[in-house]
Amino acid sequence: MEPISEIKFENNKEHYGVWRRGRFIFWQKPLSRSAIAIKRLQKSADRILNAAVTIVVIAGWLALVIWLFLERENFIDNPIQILSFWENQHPLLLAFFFSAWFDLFLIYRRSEAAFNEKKINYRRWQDVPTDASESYNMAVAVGDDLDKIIDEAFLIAVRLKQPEVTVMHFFRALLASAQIQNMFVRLGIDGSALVNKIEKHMNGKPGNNRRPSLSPVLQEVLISAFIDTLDRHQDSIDALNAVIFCYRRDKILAEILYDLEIDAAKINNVCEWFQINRQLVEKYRSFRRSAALKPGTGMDRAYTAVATPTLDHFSHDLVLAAKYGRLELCVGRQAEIDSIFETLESGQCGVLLVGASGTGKTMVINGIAQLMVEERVPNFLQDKRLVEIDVSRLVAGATPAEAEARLLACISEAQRAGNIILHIANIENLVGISAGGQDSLDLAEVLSESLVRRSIFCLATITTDNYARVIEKTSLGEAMTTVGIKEPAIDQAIQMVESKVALLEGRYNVFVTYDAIEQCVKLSSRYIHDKFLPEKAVNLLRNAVIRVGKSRRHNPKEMICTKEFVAAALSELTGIPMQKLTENESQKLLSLEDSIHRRMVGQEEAVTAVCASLRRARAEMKDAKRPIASFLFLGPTGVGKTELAKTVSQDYFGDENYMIRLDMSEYQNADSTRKMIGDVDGTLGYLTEAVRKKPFSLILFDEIEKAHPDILNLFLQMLDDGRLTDGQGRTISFTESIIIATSNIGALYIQEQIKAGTELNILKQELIDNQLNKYMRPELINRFDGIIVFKPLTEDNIFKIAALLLKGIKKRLADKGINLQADRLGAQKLAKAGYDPKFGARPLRRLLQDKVEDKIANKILSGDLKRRDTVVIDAKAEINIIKGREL
Amino acid sequence: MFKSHFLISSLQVVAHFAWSIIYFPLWWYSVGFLRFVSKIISFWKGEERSLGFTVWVRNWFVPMYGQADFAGRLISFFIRTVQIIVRGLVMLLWIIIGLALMSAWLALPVAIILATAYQLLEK
Repeated sequence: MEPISEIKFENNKEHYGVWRRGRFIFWQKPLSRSAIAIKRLQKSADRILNAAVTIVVIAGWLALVIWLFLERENFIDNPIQILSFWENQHPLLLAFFFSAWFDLFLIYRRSEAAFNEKKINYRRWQDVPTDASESYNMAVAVGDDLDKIIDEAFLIAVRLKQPEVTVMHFFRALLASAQIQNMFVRLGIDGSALVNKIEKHMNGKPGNNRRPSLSPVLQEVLISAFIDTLDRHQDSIDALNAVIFCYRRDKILAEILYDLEIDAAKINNVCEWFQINRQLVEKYRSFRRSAALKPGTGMDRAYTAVATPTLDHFSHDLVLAAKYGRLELCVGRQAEIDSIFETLESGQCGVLLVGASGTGKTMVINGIAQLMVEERVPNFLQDKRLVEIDVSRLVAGATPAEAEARLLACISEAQRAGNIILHIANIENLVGISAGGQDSLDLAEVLSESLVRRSIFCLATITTDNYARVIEKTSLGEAMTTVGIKEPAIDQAIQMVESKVALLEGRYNVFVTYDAIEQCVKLSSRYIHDKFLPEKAVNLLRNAVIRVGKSRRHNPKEMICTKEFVAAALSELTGIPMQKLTENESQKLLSLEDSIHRRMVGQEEAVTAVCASLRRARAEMKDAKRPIASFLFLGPTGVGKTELAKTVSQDYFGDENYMIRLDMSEYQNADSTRKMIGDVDGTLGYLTEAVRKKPFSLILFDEIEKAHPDILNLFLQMLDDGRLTDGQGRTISFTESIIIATSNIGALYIQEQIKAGTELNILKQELIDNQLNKYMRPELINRFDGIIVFKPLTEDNIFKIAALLLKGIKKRLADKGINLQADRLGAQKLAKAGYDPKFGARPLRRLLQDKVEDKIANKILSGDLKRRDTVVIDAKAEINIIKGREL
Repeated sequence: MFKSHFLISSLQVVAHFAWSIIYFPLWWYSVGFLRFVSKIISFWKGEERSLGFTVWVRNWFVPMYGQADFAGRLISFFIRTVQIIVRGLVMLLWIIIGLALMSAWLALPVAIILATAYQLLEK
């Protein structure tokens, strides 16, 4: 059957509609102001009647109680006499018996009202009619709330003298429904702003039609909502079913919502959220009803099962845990559960759930336990127990031989009992425990033998890596059928997290917005790489909600968990600077050059190239599978390559400390690779470990030309795929890193060419063609986003650098309460003395240390320089002291 | 125009009420009774599931706790017989209560009429 969004509507005789499940579905209902007025009057009258009847009923019972009170003397001796109260005559009793009619009348009204809420007869929809001409008017399936909304939309169109009731009128009416208002509150949308925008688009060509009809598009919306209702097996169509189709079928409405940052996925996920909550409540109710009927012991109903004392000692019963409501409800894993049932029905006795940790393997098992409580399982699982073997308990304090004996006892008990399905979580723990010498069986083989003999059923879980490493090629791997539990996609994960929100909200008394949930899934998927959805998102949301709870201590009105709280929680968890996750930094990025030049002198071309590249990355123009940006900085020493890297780290990540620095001269040997990415023996790689802990950082490879060629090969993968596999087999992501490699290759050549006035572009090409290729392979050179040539510093640059450095000294002195004044000529003299075209600005730093900082330090130690004094660097670059006033 | 609208509306509302009052006794002895009976039946089914009476009868001669030796079978048979009697009695009780409730449903309107009439009688 085609998805609802793709169904084709058509005209069939006199109706507009669609074929579905062998019937032509259409909407038809006469709408008029008088009909609506009557309906409304009827509703109010009904309410008044119900209230009046209830009052009479209460009054009747009250009359009986008063009569009993008045006659209490007669009943004290013989309470049994109360039962024959009707044998007495009293006006109060007359009132009671009179009101009894109203009791019955109330039962009648309630029963009819409850019956009328079920508008769809699913028995009728179970089979496809043989007569192809059957048609169905879905207007009869519309619930009371939605009915009111359709009426309201009609009245809006009448008021505006429109010839048709459009989706816009309908949506405006929808916004008055409490459920839909609640939905937009969750989306963080200002209701009145939305209403204003919608109202601007409600006017079409005015007509004089006093009875506007429903536009074909609105009919499509209603029919689609009906089909959705049918698919969800709801009793009637309500407002929630219609919202998403309004969005899908009206382009202008979609645009309006898009302007409010609501896209199709968002509105769909919120609708699903409300649907999930409704289903959870319904599921919970029916679950409690069934759970009351499930035996509360480990025995089957017929007591034919054998007692299992050993097994009971080393296990716990999941079905009992589910019966008493100790397991969380499982959402969105029906396909996997069905697949497990199919496997077991096909005659396999062992099913192995394979999936990364946190993807929900345990939830699937919980889901099966819950279905077993409700007995909504295939026949061979009816009236059975699902028992989880506690492996750590099984092997605790036992020699391998004892552990094996225990497991054998458990298996043979399960086998004899005949009503037991075993569950072993993390089955890899059984592997490798063997009794006796090399030839003896290990525990996994003991289990696999039983499975091959088909004497027990077993469900087990294992992580993907462990499956490949430990189980795949063993006899146990062959004896069990695998069912993959995949990490859910973003939208599916959002819906899974949504199912947990009600619980968190209740526990911490916090209101969670949709944005916070979306942010949890998206941020955790982007920044937490060693865990999996949905668990990592749920944990992040829990941390965020706890944060809201904590902040309430300072601000009692803090109730709402917004995406900022999620960002703060993630920042705490991963060390990623908080501002990166939330701030709107477009302004800052646009003026990144100015901000960098506050710390960096000269090198305009280099700074511009780097900034442009970062802007591209931030505007999400970059390939998501590559690092944010990667640069190769070329140039002589001391011209600011490292300084630029530090400044970028400061400006882009918010702190200079988000820089991982590797000096490639330490990685010149063949075994340097091991040092960098670790090895199977458990040695952790310096680079991989640092990036794993702080994926959001700038990685600086100094003097890359000195690295061993094998290391350069690693770069290929890092720059191209944005990931490396470390010695332990973990994938380390570099997609949130900026990679900068520096090199002095061709330093002399650069100096000469710049002196000769060669243009920078020509110089760069020359460097790539004739200098770089001696050290690096062309494919590596090609992979950098930018090769940036740093020019030697000019005298003017050096003056500015000297001024910057002196400013630094001044700041440090200011901390001690000492002032610094530097004469311009003196500063220039120092700059000239420290300038060396070969070594760039580095000698200047040393010179300032010798000539200024050392002298000041001596004076401070000798007591010549105290608080409130001023250090003066005069025109001859000599240091003098002006004494401050004594207190 | 408006007046006639209002009149028609009011008449329709009154007619609706009149119908609901006339239909109520009919409902009580037709649709209402059937709905009540189906509720009682599902209550019986639930109790039967909970007590497992038919399961015990089906397994009358199956040894309990997998004790398939002669003594086990013998003891099982007696225990099961006792269990079946006890469970049967409990089930019977529920059936009697259910039937009583059904009769009460049917008798209630008549009883109320009689009781009201009795109250109106002069001593």
